Amino acid sequence: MIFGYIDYVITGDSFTKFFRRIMSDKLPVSKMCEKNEKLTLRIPAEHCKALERLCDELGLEYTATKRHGSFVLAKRFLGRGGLVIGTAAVMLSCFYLSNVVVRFDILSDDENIRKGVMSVLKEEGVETGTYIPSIDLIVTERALKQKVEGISWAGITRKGDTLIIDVIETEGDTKRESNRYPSNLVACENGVIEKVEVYDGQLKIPVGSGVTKGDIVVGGEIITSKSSWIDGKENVETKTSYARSKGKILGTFERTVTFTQPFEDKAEKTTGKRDTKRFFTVFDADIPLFFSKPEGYWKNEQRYSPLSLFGLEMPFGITTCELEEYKFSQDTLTEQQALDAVHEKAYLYEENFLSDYEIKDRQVEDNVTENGVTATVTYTLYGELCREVEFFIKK
Amino acid sequence: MKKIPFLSFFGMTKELTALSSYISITDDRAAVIENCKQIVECSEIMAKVLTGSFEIEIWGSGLTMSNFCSDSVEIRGKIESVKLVSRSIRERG
Repeated sequence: MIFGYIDYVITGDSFTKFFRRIMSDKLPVSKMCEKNEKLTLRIPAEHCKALERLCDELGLEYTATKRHGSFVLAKRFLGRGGLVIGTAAVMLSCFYLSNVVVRFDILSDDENIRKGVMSVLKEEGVETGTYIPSIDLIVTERALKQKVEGISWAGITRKGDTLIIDVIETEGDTKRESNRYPSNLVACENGVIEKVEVYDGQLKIPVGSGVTKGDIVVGGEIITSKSSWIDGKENVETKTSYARSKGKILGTFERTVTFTQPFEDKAEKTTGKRDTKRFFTVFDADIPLFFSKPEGYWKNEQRYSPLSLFGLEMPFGITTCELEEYKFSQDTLTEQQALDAVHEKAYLYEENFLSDYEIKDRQVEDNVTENGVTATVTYTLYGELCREVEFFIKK
Repeated sequence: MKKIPFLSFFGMTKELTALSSYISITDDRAAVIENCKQIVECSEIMAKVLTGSFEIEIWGSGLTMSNFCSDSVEIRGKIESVKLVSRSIRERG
């Protein structure tokens, strides 16, 4: 039945013997009907020889009138070598490509981990083009866990031709200081020390004192002296040791920042024009499915839809780019608009750069000039006053 | 009261060993006859087969016959009547 069916017309005077032999030879005929001394029937292609032999034996004339099913389709294909070879090549390449590694998807944002994972996979013989069933996932996972720095667990799953490597990054691994240079805590702002927590080093300036930029607040050079009296004479023994100064020096200081906004402003505006462009993506190559290249400035939102065959994701698909046109326009701001913009800039500065400090006071001085607006903001901040500066010991 | 036909020992054995003929009719579209011994005739209006005990005639229009598995035939078309003639009566007559 897999080769299809053939319709026959058999001519003869009597079909009694024929019917008997059909039953005894167990020939699976169907749609059998006798009309005007002609018997029409349908038989699976694989039994047609047996039927023809039977007809010859009984002296009946037969004619194959029509062929149906995959038999005919196969015969049609046989006449077209290129089509057969092409279909076979596509099927073979689909089979091959669905069983080799084409992509790696490493679920980590850390570039070092990604590089480490790829290097270990290469060491283990897992590369683009490796036959997937030959990969021992357990051994590879173990190698990843042992060799890649910064991960505590690794798991590999397969999705079509893509190997998905899921990793759990090591947390709470404190960075160890590799160098042992002594250091000072040096004031980086002009302010007043209000709170001190010294873990190592020698405090040079007490709480309540004012400091200027560059003052050493906690010193890494610790000088200890010991005096003793020998024969009525004072003998002072001085000993110098070095430490990495560690601690928190909190205080209040002022910082002045100036923000400017010119009246003539260049702004980016969307025109409302949208376009969609598609690419046929094979591995990493994008083949454009359009002729005209869009002119101007466009914002691009891209998405990739891989094609799948029998549930297996193929290494090719369609990349769709949703484009939105924008233009640069020269805007002339009013004084109020410029002031709003400059205050917005100040707000963004606070959000981005002053989040570690407590803003105790803020004095804003707006100044309108011929070209634009300037806002000078004086912040009174409470927070870290010092930073660590290493120094070298003279030998 | 009508008398229930007596089933002989031979008849019971036939039934138990599934040697009886089974005729399944689906509406007026198809009839399947199991334990069929021989096809006698198969035309557009009449299909005749022999089973162990009966000669079965199926009358209708546009009839076609198929035998997909051994000792069974299927008759498709518009079935109008089914006639069973006991082979013993036929042979005696």
